Amino acid sequence: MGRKIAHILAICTTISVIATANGEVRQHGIALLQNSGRQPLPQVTVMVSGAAPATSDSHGQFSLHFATCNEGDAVRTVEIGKTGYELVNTREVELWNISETDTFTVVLCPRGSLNESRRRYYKLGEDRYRSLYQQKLEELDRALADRQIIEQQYREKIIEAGEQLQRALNRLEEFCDRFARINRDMLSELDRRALALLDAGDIDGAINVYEEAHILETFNEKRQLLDSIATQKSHVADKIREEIRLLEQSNSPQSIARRDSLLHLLETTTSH
Amino acid sequence: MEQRKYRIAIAAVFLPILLISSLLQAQVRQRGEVVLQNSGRQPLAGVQVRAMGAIPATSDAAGHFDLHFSKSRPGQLLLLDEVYKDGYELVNEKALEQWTVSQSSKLPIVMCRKGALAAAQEKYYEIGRSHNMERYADACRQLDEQLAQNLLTEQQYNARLDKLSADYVKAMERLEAYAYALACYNRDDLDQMSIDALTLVEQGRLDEALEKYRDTQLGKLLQGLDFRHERERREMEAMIPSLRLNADLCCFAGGEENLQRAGEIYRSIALSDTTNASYAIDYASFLTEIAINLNEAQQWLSTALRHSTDSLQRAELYTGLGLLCTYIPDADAALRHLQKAVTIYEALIRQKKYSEDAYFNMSYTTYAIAESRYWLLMGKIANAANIMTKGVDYANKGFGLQPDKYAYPYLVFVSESIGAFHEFFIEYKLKTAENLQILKSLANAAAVVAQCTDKKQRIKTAQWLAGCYSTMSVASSNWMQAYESDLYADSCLMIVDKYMELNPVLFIKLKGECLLAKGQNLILSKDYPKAAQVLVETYDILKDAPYATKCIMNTLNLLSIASISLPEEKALPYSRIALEYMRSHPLSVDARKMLDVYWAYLFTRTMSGKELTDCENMMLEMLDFIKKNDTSRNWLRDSHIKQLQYMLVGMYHLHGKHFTDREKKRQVLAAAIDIVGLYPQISDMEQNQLVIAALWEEK
Repeated sequence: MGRKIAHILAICTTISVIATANGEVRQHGIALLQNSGRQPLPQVTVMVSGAAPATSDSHGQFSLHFATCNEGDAVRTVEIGKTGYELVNTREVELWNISETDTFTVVLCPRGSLNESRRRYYKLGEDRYRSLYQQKLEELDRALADRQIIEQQYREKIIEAGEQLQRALNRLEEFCDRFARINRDMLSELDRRALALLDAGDIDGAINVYEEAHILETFNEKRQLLDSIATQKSHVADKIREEIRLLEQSNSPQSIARRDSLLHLLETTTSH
Repeated sequence: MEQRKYRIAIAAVFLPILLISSLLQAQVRQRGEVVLQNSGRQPLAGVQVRAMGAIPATSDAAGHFDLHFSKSRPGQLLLLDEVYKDGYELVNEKALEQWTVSQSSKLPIVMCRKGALAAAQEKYYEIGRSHNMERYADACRQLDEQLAQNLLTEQQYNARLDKLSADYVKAMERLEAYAYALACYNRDDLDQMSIDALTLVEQGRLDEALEKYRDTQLGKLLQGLDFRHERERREMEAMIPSLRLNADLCCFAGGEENLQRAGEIYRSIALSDTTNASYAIDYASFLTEIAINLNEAQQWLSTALRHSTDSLQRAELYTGLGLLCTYIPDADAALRHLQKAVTIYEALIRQKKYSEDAYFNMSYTTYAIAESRYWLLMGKIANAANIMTKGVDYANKGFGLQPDKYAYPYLVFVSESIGAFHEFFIEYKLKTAENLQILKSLANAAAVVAQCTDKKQRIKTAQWLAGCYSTMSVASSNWMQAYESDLYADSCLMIVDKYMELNPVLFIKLKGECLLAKGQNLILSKDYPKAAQVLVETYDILKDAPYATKCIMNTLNLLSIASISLPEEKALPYSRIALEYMRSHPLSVDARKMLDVYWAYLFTRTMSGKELTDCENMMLEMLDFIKKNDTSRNWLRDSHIKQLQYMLVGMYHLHGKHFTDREKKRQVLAAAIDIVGLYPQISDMEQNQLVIAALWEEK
């Protein structure tokens, strides 16, 4: 009897060893409704290559079991969907790598709502560009009338303004899509406020939110702070190296031990 | 696998419409200072500093110098070739190895008198040596005592003695490097604690020196700084999504101020971590598409390249650089970058994971477009057609593997190839039926694919497809297939009319081009009234459109040609419209086409006898224009000379009573005679001149 149990145990151990060697990974995921306050979406089918299809439950949660893939591999999606809905965060989904710890989030919205948002933003942008162009033309007309510019410059600037307009319009579709796909539930308070203003048609107000928050200035200050901390670190590291030299020369066991711990410290603190 | 996040769709990013480039030179000035070691910061003048990529500099009386780098990347390492002054030597060479070129930080160079370093090294060597010897002797003595007191066995004694000896030897071996390191310290740069410690070392009091360091608790200090560093860095990273949204809103809003701000944001993000390829790429994209600062975009792409380890991404970055250099223009650099890109592609294609990957195949098509553009701009059209032919296989493969995803890039590729092949066939006079068929099948492919593209790009899709049809309309017209040309023009117009409401600016030009093609076809089939009607409609649509001047000019040129065969109530106003526009847009005018406009204006008036007032002045203007602009003397033919005679006859005999200014008449006739004389290849030159001269007599 004992031998049988031992035999079974041996087999079980082998099996589990094989299983982990092949990298059986479980990817946890959740399906959410866009701009809904993180409402979970049930009945979303998730089909990716390398795992059996999964469907999200009433809490929007689902699990993907990868038999032969490993942690860190790229997930190739075949289809993610639900009738009457479409996938919003296509880009993040495209770039997802398998992970046991991070949750694979898929965001969906009712079919057609992306298109509607895009159209709204498009109109907003186009009206704005046209009025900017008109303003520019009027400005140039005035400048010409006041003899601030000569005929040739005037013509050149008109052409330039036209080209700017065309460039702006060419870019417009891309921006509209980007804005439409943002899931406001995932945003910071600041971003949410800005987008709310954009949605209300107040583009300048949206930009102003950031100006008032001095976000760029704060970022630049932090950048400088980071640089100065880096410089300080560099100085301290230099001094530590001075100490290490002396320790090596002293060569006593305590010195060598201290030197080793200092070396380790130098290695593990982030280098630049 | 992190690298996948940084793959960029170059097709959408790097197809600049404009050829304007900014000529900002990326000069970096690295300031520096040369001081004498341990001298209280005494400056050293007359030191020659040579670094790779910079003009050599010499330090002035204050020890200052400037290194000017003509081309520099952010984060570039300073590579010192030489630092020289007779009688002196460089002390801090090692520290300078890691220096990055910077406008803000001053490069510190420390020198000492020749031989001083060696002397200091000897001094420390001696101190270290006697210290080591003393300690070794002490330790041996201790061991002997222990042995004598029977605290150790013979074996233990020998083992420990061996270890002591080994340590002693090691310490002595390290001594030289240690002594050198100490000799290189510049007391002027050390703080008081380090100076005190160094003094203790010189006095042989190593242990006390070490105690000083221990008391400073450098380890704790470093850990604290590191912790703060990490925290700040994470906080900064957390701000980046908001910053990006801010930048997006600014770009969306448009206007100079907003776009500038967007640029500042992208720049700050890129500077916050110069080793982050993706930040560099984002900024480069902005510079290319929005700021149109191709030179700086190039630098940032190079920075991204330095920190990119993914082969496919590198190939795409080289492609992007090639495209930028094509437009800057810097032909040599463009070719170099493109060659590097294709080398990588050719290496990757041998791996199955790439050759069977849709993204890889479409990425190659982007490269093909870039190379094709290069050749087209260099005038080597055959090479352009060649690379696009190669690209077709990849496009078909990529699209076939994942049609929904890659429909749009496929459409872009097909459109570009229609353009390239069309130019190729025209240039090499290959207007055969088979070649027109090639273009047609490409256009069909475009139509099919256009239906599969994502809704989010429907306007762009429509633009490309309409562009295909427009090119096909022109091509068919060039191949003398007027009926087909009209069909394509109508297909284009259908698309244009559908999207015109949504975005007039983008589609107006296409509409104009189509109508122009139709007008041209009507002229070729000699239906002048209809042609004129279409052309006037075209002009009306285009005249207020920005940047459509070339198309307007072509329209008016054709309108002038058509107007000659029209009844005077149409001919006169049309030719006037044309002339007025052309005269007020001298910058955009094609000289040969201008001739047609002048000609039509004068012909219609002199034949009908109406609106003769400014005919003499226009005649003079036209004749002068011909003289100045027809440098090869091939504009005028026999028919032109005959018509010129008719015009002058019309002016001075049929309607002579309008022209009373004798002096003017003399000028006109003289100019006409002069012009005829410039075309000796036309028969009966002298006879023609006599006919004109005869007009001088009043009839």
